[in-house]
Amino acid sequence: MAILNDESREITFKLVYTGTPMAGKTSNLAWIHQRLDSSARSDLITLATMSDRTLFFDFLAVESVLINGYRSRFQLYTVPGQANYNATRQIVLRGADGLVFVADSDPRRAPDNLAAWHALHQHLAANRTHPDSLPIVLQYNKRDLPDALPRAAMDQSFRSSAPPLTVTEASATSGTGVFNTLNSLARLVVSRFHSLHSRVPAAL
Amino acid sequence: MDPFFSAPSSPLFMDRETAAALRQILVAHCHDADATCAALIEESGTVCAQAGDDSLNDHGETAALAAGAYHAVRETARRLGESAFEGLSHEGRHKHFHLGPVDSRFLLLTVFSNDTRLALVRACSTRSAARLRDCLAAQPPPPPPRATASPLARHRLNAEEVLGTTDFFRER
Repeated sequence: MAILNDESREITFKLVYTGTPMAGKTSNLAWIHQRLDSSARSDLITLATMSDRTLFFDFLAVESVLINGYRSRFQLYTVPGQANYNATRQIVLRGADGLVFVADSDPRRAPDNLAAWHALHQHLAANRTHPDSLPIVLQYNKRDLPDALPRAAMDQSFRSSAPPLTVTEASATSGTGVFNTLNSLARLVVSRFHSLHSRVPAAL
Repeated sequence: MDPFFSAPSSPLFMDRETAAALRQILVAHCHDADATCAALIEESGTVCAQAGDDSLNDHGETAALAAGAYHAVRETARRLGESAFEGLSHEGRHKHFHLGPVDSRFLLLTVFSNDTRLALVRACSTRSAARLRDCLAAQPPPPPPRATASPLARHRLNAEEVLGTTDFFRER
């Protein structure tokens, strides 16, 4: 959860990219890492298997705007998508201030999207976090696929979500929509923090 | 809301006095354990206070890895049937470290060289963890939630309205 340090004048949030296996979670972070000035970000830490599948997590810390005199920092994590990494995924999800759920627009992956969505809810329950208490952005990735599922069909898959989620579209390997997704979640997280805690950040 | 669902941790507001007090405890810990540096790390991998050399002066990568390693090893132990977990240590050729619990949310990372012994570091870590716990517990309570807190549902739908067009991040 967010940490506000009066001495260092920093406020730190934890954002986690979760979602369907091979849907592009690491690609999101790789693009952000590539496109941010090196003075405003950390190294991209990737704990991957020999075949470049995320083993534990990827990590990227990024700095952003001053909020009422506090430097805002966002720690971005990805979790491994594969089912056999359920335990590590649950560990990384702990303490998150907000989530991006990366869904795959490939029509053949639609069942995997739903399985990962349900698994996420189980992980949140195991961490005693109610999904409605957490800002979530749903990213439809791989929109550049020639046979990508129509947006309406993707919406239909997640229609049971209440309240309705913020949805973004992306092609993470080419960078399309990656920053829009990140900015959408950052706004939600800071907005929620602002509404719940009176000290910070009055400028917003 | 279902009483089963209660947030495991809440935002941490650390005032200047607490930050300074925590750092003083870590300075004393480094001295007592003959350590090169020490840090109080929150479960999400954020360094809340540190003392000693600049080993941890990066953008948070080392602390994030340390927190991940700690939780992974603890979970491994639990799955193997061991519920007690007192921390983990790595002994290298020149640099070593120990990660021990402070409470359910915070870890104490101690980095040391060949000039000191793990047993001393462990003993000092246990003592310093208690001091850190006391210090964190003595901190003034966090500010009360706003009486007019908006339901999250509205944020999800109207983020742009709430925060205008602020872009937290811009591509090069």
